[in-house]
Amino acid sequence: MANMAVSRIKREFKEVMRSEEIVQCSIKIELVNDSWTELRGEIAGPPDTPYEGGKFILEIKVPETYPFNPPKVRFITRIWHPNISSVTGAICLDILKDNWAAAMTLRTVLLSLQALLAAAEPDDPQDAVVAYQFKDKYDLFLLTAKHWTNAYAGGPHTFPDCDSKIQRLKDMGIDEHDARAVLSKENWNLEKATECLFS
Amino acid sequence: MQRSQAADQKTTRLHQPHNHSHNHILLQQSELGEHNSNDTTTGAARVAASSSATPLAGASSGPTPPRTLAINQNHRYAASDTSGDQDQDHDHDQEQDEELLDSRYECAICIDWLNEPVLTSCGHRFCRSCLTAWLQKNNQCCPLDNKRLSAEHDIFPDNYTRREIEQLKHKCPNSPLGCSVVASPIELHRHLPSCPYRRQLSQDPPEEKCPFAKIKCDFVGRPETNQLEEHLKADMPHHMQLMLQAFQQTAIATWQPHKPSTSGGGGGALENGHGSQLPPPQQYANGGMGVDEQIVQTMYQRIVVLEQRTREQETRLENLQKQLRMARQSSSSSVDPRYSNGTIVWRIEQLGALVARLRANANNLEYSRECYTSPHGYKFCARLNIQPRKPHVLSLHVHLMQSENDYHLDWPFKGRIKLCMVHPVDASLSQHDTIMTKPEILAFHKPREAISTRGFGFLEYANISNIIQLGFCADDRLLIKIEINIV
Repeated sequence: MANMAVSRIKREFKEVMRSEEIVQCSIKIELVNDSWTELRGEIAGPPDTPYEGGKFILEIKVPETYPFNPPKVRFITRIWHPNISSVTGAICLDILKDNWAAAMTLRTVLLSLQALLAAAEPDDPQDAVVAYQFKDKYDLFLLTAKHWTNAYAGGPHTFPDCDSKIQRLKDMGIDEHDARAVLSKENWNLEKATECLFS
Repeated sequence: MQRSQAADQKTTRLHQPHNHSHNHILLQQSELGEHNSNDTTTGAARVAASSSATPLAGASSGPTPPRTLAINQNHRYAASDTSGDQDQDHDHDQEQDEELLDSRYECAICIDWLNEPVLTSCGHRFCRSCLTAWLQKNNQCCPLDNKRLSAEHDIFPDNYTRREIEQLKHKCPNSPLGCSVVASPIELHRHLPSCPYRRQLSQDPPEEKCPFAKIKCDFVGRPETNQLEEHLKADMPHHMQLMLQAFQQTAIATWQPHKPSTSGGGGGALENGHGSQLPPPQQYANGGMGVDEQIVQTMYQRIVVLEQRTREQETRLENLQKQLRMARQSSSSSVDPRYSNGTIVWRIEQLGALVARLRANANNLEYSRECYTSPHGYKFCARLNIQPRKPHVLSLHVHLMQSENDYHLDWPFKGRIKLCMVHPVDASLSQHDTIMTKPEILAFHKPREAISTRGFGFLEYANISNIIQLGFCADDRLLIKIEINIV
């Protein structure tokens, strides 16, 4: 790995480690291997959003050309958000693509992602299904996002209704994650979800 | 105000230079602080706060110490501005001294000291190489505020800043180890890799210590290799001995004869009677303490050595037995190939497994043992394989092999090759094939490799299912006989 990328990541690592956000436990970063090419980030769901109370793990891969090219970031924790793929965790965020600037750091990236959780952009979606729900049935979107936060990121809100529907599908032999994804997609309509799964 | 800036993610760094532009000394202080350094209160207030948090020994003398301390600290930090970072005596290691990096002199791209600083038309400083590299990536705008920048018109060398940085004189981080170099941060960067006092640790990736280092194993390995793993395997006896020694030492050190753990009341009486003299444990009570201990220690060591020797002997014995077994096998199974008179009787055990292996990879070949047409004749062997395109057919080829006779033989080899797949029950069912050599076939030319890469035979020698159906392989065993004669 290029020398500059490594030395910069090391400095940034220190920056994050002593930032205020780490004291508040709102962002966190740790090494995955010794080569500094792969890191693991963690952001707390911002308050007053459906993600509140959740901890979201991120995979951060640092390219050799860093900081001239953005780091590759992906959600490892599953999340229901218009700009994040509910399947792969891929993120649609301008600064991780064309609007990257060399002066941005891991800390600003993590904080930007936190901001993205607080302010979704459904008109520039990564996950069209989620974006549609966000625009069309916002209440259901909030419920689904809270439910996913609870199921995958340790969020506080539980929805027994969702759980029982998932259980119904599980009883039919469907994997829990698949069941949740299909139900979320079908606005928690059990019949439609079943139809979708078995047709 | 600062807090709100910190929360504004994309612009944090952008604002930092302005935050720090009030007062140089002050700035250094806040950078040196415990890193919750966003408060830019006055120096005295800050120091007062820190001193109240960690009360000093002298603080009891009255309310004045904070003031004197403040002066001291101001002096010290002011001094650090010119004389280097290593003045800080407490827990500032080499990495932390880099944190003294003044954000006015920091390049936002490499987050390091500005090297050959340039100034943009939008008022930001970067290293020349960093900014050039950034602009070359089709990003024709400032990394800090996204203003469009043209490489020709918007970038100017910032010699003022360059001189400022050059005038900063820092001690080499290795100064505690004796390096006397004092130079600007940029020069230090160049100096560090060649600093004669550099610590191995700071230059190289950290060394890997043996987990037994605590008991005085002084092995150190490089983490990127598997030296440690090998060391752990190979030096087990050494570690055992070290452990024994350590155990003996702790046993002696912690042995408290005053605690009559097993001896009960009698021990207590003994203890009283002997006063300050240490009573020996009962089992050694007869002799002098030192001598007994020595004996025990020697015995222990002797046992370790003997056990180790036993283990070595066992391994040696095992190896010898293995050799013996192999020797027996080879002697029982074969005649000297030199006296095989051109005949290979190839008994293929476990045909099913062999077929599976050959099918799994087209590069898997099965060779027969070698054979000579006469004691001073041609050497050859046979080969079986399965072509990936025809997984149901066995190919059989004969390969000439290099031998010590090659130089006096006639080339190409001329002869007759008879292949016979022997039916174990009914000899009339055996499959016979005869091949006559032809001089133009390369397979019969003098071999250039140990086994000639070219063979001659049948790509489709036999259909595997036929072999099985016709009963050629009773007990999963196939017998192929190959006879080669010179004509």
